[in-house]
Amino acid sequence: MGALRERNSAAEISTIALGIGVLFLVTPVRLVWARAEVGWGVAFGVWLGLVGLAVWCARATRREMRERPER
Amino acid sequence: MTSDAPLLAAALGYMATLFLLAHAAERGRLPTALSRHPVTYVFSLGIYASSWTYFGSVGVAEQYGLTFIAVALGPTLACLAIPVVWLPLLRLVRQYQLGTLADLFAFRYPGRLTGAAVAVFALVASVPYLAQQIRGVVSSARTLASEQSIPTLALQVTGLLALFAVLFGARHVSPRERHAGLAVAMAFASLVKVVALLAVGAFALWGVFGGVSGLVQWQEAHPEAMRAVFTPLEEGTSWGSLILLSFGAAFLLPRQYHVAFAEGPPDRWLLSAGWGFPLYLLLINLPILPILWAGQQVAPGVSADVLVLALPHAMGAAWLSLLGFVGGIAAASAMVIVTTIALASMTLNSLVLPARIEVLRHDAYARLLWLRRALIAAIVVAGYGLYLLEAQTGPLVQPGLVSFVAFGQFLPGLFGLLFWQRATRAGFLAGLGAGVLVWMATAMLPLFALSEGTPIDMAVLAAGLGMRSPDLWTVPTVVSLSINGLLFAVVSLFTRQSAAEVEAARRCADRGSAPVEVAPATSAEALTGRLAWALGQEAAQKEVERAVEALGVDRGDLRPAEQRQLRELVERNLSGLIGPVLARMVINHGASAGSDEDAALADQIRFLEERLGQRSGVLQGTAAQLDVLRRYLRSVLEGLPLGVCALGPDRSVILWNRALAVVTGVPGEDAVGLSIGEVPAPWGEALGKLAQEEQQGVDQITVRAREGQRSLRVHRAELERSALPGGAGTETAGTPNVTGAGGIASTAGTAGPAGTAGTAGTAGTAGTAGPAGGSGGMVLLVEDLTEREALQAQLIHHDRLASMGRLAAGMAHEIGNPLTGITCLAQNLEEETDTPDVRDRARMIVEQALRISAIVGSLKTFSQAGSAGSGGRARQAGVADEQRVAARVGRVPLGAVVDDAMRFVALDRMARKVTMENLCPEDLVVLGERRQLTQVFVNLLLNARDASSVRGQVIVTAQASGETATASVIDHGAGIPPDLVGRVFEPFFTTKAPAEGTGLGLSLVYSIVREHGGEVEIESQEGIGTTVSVRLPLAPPSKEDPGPSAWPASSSSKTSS
Repeated sequence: MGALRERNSAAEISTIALGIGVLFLVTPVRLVWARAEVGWGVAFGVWLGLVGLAVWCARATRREMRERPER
Repeated sequence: MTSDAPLLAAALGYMATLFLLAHAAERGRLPTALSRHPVTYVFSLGIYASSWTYFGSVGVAEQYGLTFIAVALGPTLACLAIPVVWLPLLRLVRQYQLGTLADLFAFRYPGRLTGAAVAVFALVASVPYLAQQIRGVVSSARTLASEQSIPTLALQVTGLLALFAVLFGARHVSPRERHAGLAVAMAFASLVKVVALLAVGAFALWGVFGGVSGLVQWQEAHPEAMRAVFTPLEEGTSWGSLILLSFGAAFLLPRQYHVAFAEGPPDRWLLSAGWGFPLYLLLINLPILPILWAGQQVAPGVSADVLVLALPHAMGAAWLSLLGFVGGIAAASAMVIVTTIALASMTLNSLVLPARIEVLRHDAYARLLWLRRALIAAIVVAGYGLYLLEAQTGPLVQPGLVSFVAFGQFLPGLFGLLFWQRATRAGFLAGLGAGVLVWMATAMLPLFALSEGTPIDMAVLAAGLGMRSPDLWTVPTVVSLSINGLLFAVVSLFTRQSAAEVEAARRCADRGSAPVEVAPATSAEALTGRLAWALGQEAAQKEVERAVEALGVDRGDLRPAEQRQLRELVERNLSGLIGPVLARMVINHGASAGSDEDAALADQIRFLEERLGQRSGVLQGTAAQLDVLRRYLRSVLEGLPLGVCALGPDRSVILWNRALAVVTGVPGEDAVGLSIGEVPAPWGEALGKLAQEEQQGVDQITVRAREGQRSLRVHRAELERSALPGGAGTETAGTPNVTGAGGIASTAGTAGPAGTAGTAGTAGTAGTAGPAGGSGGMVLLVEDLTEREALQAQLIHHDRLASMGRLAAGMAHEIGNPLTGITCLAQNLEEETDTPDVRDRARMIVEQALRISAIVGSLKTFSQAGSAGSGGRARQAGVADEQRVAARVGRVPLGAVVDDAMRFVALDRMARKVTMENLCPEDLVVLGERRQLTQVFVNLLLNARDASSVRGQVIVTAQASGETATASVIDHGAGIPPDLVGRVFEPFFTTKAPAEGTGLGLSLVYSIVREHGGEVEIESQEGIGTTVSVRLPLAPPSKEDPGPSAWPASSSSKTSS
């Protein structure tokens, strides 16, 4: 009955971003960047990447609010 | 050591700046673009970084390496969850005015115990944290100045913090109102500390290492320092648990909840904070490692917790030390101020007021403010007192970590609040209670007994959990949260939710109110009375007035639906003042449960309709499909050519469709929500009477509306109660929950005659008794029969005329033959006899026979004309007659015809003397047969004359309108009784004495005019007069005619008497 959605919802994007964040921070994947050999600055680089994901989530939410204003 | 005077001056100067900024923002002296900018909101969220982050992060970095950034990475992850966690929370807080964490949990897990437990726990967990901030300020001051001034400094700073919090954190009676001054001051504090820390970091980088290359060289020369930074991350348990704790702390710490949600930011600010806040945390953490390494170089042996100050101090950069000190004051003060404000509101709503709500009965608003202010001061003093007791030793971060673990105990409850509707209050309290006990044993007690050894051996516990190096937070976090979460889940699964919990769960899941739990309608007066019990009369009236004003309705004209909205709005506003639990208690005080259950059910339907209407664009999946179905059925109901009125069990109007609005002239929006009896007259009374019937049935009623009398057939069908929200019954295919009276078609033919005006008479076949489980309300189906009945009456009239015409024709034929014989014989007798007496009698016979012949002639004329009605042969005859008339039709000046008629009438010298005046325009020309039209006006004038009194006046006027001309014969005579007006065109019907009229005059007029394609109307009022209007087709203007516009307004009058 409903048309196919063109985009993911903000909640889906948020879940994906959260998953990526958890993957890089909490799982053993963190040992890729959390090593003395790569330098402490890389940790902040990863952090900046997370900020980028947060921007993505915020943009998706903003767009969703524009398209489907709830209140 | 430097002099303590600059420190004191810097601290007091900073606090003075904070006061000035807050004051300016409150007074509107700061540009709104600044005070209400998302950046201000982002920076005010920066109060997350307290003394712990500012001073203690360097200490954590020294001990646990890169783990220190986990405290900021947790909030970063939390910000990724803004659309699924923060935004729903913000909307919930905004919608239900949940000003504190305790209010939030007491709303979802309703009960006083919930609020009290959360408030007590938050207090216990926060006061050591507050003491830590004072300790941080004092430690930093000790680093820079002599010992003597420190106690004074601590006292002064604490006093100023309390004063600031009282002045700018409790300005409004509701904590949900935005404190512009507070927000600006907190943003300023965050700005100061990030600038200070970056400045110290830059100093460390360039002042100690000589730049980035120098730092790199130092790192290469000290690989052990780099290993110390990364090794703790390899083990991972501490890192992961700290991320988890700080994830929750980002929005569960009282200060974070207050700034993020309670101050009521718009949604878009939160979205900006989604990336702005993590960026801020990144910036403030960036200089930590350079400061640590530089400190280790320059000031070995100095506690890492104070390196932010000790580093520039050791390098002789006094100004930077002072800036660093001010940054520390900013970090500590912001945390203390907002935390005490949040805790004060929590304590007031969840501990003080539930115990003594009656304190608000006099001057409620002022008392609320002063109570909150007193609590703020008391909490600051408690923090200072704990600091003075010197109970805490160990690392600076320890109380903060303990606090983080404590507020982490709310994570399972928050998960239930947002995502698990099945979670119960019992589960929440059980989980929280167990978590708190574990927290007390593993985190709180060690905090106060660190120097004497912990009661629980952490190393053993850590080994049991498989951890190599025990830290300060992992064991408490893992153990307490595991037990908490497990109990929360298990107890929730094995306990039953109360109705209030189900309702709260639905609201938290943003699914709106459960249909069975919508607040019942309560009048404004009843609400005021209930509120007065707790808040006193004055505050109660103010609250109700405020809500009425917000709804934009008239207090005296509140419908049930609006009363429900009013009740909900008052409850929400009260929730902002005194918390949701007390608000509900006050609003329900003295209400008898279930007394207005029926009204509530009707309200719910309207509420659902209203809510679905608002949200139809955002529904998804099955809900969206159901909404499509709902809108389709709604359009069917709206588009039905029959009026539909659905009533609730309390007989209030739920649905009033378009057709009914047309029939009644009452728009749907004016009717919906009213009790059916309150619908504007005369419909409320008429339909209300029918709605009182319990049985199915069909009624035919006549209603005198403003625009005329309307005849209606109303079908009643009762609804099953199971059709309503909360009904136990389920609908099976093919058996809808409406039991009608047999359907419209089957009952339509059984309707009896119309009742009298305004009365309802059961005319149709009554259906079976209402369905089992009724009454769930009623459906009224309204058919407007007015036009149909008018047409039927006209048809009956025509048929009657036609049949009389045929009868007259037959009679004329039958009478005519013998009459001819009688006349001939009488004439023969008159001529043949010589006897005068016989001759006279024969002449009399001839005269009477001629009179009979004249009557027969009239009958023939009538029969020829009157047959032009309806039905088979009559219609064919009518067509022939029309053709005949058409052959003689021509342009007839109406004024001349009336003149002729007046002359004929005036010939009767024996008749009553009246004045006749012809005001017809001379140029008004109609299409017709002149002789017949003269006959029409002769008959009308004779009637008018006979009805008028001696010296009365009869006027004939005429005017053109469109393609017709209307001539009106007006008399001021006796008039015709209303019940006889409808019969005057019937043949042989007369109001005159038997010898004075045949009753054929007006019926002849009617027939002739109809033959001409015109119409006759009669209006009469007894004692005032009668007007007969004849409408005839207007002749098209001929070449000689000047056209209608050139016609005079009235012609010269002709008078005959």
